[in-house]
Amino acid sequence: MRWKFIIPFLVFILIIFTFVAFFLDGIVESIVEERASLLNKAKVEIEDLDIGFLRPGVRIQGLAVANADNPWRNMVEVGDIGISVSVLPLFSKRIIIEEMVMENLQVNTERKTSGELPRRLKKRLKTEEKEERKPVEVPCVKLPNLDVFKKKFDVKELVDINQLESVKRAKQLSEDVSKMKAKWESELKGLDVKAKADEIMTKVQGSLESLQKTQIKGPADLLKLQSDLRNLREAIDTLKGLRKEIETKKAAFKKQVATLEKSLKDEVKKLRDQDLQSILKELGLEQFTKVRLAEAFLCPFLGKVLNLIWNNVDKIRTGMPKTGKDEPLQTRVRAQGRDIIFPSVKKGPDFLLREARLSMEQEKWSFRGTILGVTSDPVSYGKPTRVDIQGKRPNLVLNGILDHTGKTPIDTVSLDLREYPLDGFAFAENPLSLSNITRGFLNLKANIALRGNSIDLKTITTVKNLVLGFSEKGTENLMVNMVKEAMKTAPSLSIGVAAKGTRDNPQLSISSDLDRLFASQLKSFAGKKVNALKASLGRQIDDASGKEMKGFSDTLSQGKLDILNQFGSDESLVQENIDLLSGTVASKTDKSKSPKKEKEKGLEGLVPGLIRR
Amino acid sequence: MIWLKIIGKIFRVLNAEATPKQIAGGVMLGMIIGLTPTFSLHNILVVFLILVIRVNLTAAILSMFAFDLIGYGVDPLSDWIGGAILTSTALRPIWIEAYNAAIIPFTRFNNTIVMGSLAISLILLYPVFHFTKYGVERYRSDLAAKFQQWRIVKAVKMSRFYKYYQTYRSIVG
Repeated sequence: MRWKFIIPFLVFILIIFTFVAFFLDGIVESIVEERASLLNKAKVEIEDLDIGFLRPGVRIQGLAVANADNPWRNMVEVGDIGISVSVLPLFSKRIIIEEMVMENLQVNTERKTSGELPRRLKKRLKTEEKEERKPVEVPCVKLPNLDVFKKKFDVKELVDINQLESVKRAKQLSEDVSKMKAKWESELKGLDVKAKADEIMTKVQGSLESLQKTQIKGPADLLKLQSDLRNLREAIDTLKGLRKEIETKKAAFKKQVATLEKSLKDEVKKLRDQDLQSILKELGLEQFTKVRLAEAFLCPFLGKVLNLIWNNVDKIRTGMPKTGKDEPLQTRVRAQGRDIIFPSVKKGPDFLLREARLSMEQEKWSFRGTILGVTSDPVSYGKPTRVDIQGKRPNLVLNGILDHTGKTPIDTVSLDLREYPLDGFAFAENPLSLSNITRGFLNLKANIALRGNSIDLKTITTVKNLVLGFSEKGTENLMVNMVKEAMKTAPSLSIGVAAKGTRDNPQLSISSDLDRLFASQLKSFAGKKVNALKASLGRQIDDASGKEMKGFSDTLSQGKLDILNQFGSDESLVQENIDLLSGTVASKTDKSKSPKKEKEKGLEGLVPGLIRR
Repeated sequence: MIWLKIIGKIFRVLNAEATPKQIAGGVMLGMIIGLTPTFSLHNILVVFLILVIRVNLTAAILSMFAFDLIGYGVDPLSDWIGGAILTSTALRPIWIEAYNAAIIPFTRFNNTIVMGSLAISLILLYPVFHFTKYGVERYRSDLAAKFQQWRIVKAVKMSRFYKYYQTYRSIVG
């Protein structure tokens, strides 16, 4: 044993421990401030941090979390936080907080200095920023724009008339007719009736002439006559076939023209209605008969609320993931090597906050609450996280259960808020030009359940003794004036909001007695005007597309006439030839009217000259 | 100059009164610190051993620096070996037990380079000890006298730095 080395070694260790005891607080404080600031994207400051060794734990005084959106205000300020930690699990890299007490909690307090991140941390933030999830998009209805009634309305001021779908289609119709005409002309050319008829007639020309000139003088002439007659009958049959073909095509043409005429007119009419609807939508008048004032007003706000809910749920679910013992090993790159992460077994989660107690006393707020079982591994802990908060000012009860112990995380929160004074509540920019609430009390009951990616939200809000303040901006707005009028007779109102579906496809339904009240006012005020506007718009669209439609009708009529004329001349040609051949055949067989008689008489009946001789 | 100083140190160790076993022990323990990442918990134990048991301190320090340089070169090999050991299915229950035990996680044993370099240094433990001991013995019995006749050694001994160094040693003792 080399005691001369052991003693300095022990002294060295002692120095290290002394250093830790004196300076560790400051080091940890700066590390916590820096990491928390990066997470918060604004300054997180701690007045004093003490690490206790005899009674293991941490005491934080004067925690101020700046608001990233408004750096001159603190999001949260906590006077005193006491944390007591279990020592033994620390040696196994597990942090078990037995108790955390947060006192003098305050929200939205003023700051003396800006809470913006220093330049050094901003640079780091840029490199550490992760891709954020796509925000929830909620389809919202618009409020009707009644200001269009203030002046004489002209559709040309709103949209480029030539860009309307009905006008564009009407222009295209004449082209369609020309194409159809060309197609049928080509069909007729392909049929080539004249050439076919000429060919048939040329074939039977000899027989025809022979029949017209030849006199039957002997049995040889009789046989020739029979053969010629057979040729002519065959030619007649072929010509009749050709005539039938022409008739079939003509019928198909007529049918197509009729269908085209009707379908195209219907199509243009449909497009015209669509154009009308889209213009009305531009004006916010398409749902005029079913005005959803509450939805139009609250929908953008609810979109923000849903995003806030999902973003916080994402953070909670990332921090409290579901883990299993049979999961594959994870690796984390570190310097040139990798850290292999083995599953935590037997001794429970790596992080557990058994109980947190918080209290808040502010001018407007006074509440106390507990949070139980916040953990990094809910599966191994086996119990859900519970939040219970009760308030005196305002009178509220908030209960939450965040159950991540099963296959699908289930987060449920219920809130019952009563008689919350709304005086001084300032509205963000909104279509109704509402500036603030001068007076009013809010009662709110809300239940929210999030199962995996699906949401089920139900809230009933009642506002009593409501007096609204409007900004100067909206004094000229008819809609705003109507709301003002409606609110005179509505000292209290209720709004029910329900949201279902998934985060990618949320379905909102908002109902309010304000809608009923407002709808009747709106109908009596602008019902006739809206109907007149619709009629006027319809006329203007019809005028614009009418010219094109007339051009289409003219082209169609002319095209129809041309093709039918061609069919007619072809039919006439074939018919003439049939008539000529049939006439010749009939003249030669005229004397033998009855086939029976012909049979009885035999050749004598057919050719009397022969017997006579 | 620094190289001359290091060479001088090496010869001082070789010619010192320390036994070949003490020198070999120092080299062996210094190798562990040098090959594995310096700030690892197990190295505190190694330093403690170097200080407590009678191994040559200078040899340990020189060995630590020498193997530290080698360690950077063998990092990819350490990563590969460490990865193979840590992901071995047969050893997995042991690692899970160690990962969940007290204090052991602070040794960073689950890092591929720490595990790989520790494995390499444990494998080299006996060969390094044996060859160093053999080398020192051979040097002392056969090479020391011849070595003093080498021109470079004479040049070093003639240098002003060596004289200063000798003076410094005589003062410090």
